Amino acid sequence: MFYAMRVLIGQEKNVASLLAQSVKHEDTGISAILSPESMKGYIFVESDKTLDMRHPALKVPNLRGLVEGDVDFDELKSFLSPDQSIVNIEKGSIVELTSGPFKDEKAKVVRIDEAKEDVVLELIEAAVPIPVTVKGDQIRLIQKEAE
Amino acid sequence: MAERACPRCRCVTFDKVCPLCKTETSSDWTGLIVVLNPDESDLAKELNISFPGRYALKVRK
Repeated sequence: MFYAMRVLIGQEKNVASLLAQSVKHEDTGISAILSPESMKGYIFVESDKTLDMRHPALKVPNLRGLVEGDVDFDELKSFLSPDQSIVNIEKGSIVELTSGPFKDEKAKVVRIDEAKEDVVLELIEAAVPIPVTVKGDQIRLIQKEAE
Repeated sequence: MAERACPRCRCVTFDKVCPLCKTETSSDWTGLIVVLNPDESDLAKELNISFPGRYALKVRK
């Protein structure tokens, strides 16, 4: 059975590692702990027993509690193979930056490095066109290809 | 020191060379799965993990 647990946002990996250490020699039935990047504030636990949060091994810092009910395995499958973030982006596309120092700026795609998932952009509103390299998950597609 | 992951077996380690397959590790990785009991775990079977340990879900070279 799979269970979702609420954790402090940003501490998902730490909680997963601490929980694994804590339950290693305990009979809690936990066989795997999953912390997907796209799921902020939650981790998933696979266990063949019903989890009892009163168990001392489950008292881990930054672990906020158990979500009621279990999770379907099919729902977790999508987290196991994260899609490439630059799959729809082409050279010449207009994108918007979603994080970093140029957040909310619009830019045109100049070059794509598929192996590294890097995208080289040229900011549209900048006076001097300077190429900026960002990761594929830091941009959002606005227009597929500029005329 | 930041943790690194092997692009081949996805094992998470602090070393620059993977302890399992001796491939050069990468610092650019996302997602984590901690496998405690690979024989009992459906997640480990789905990801073809046969040894207990910490693994990344996605590793960029």
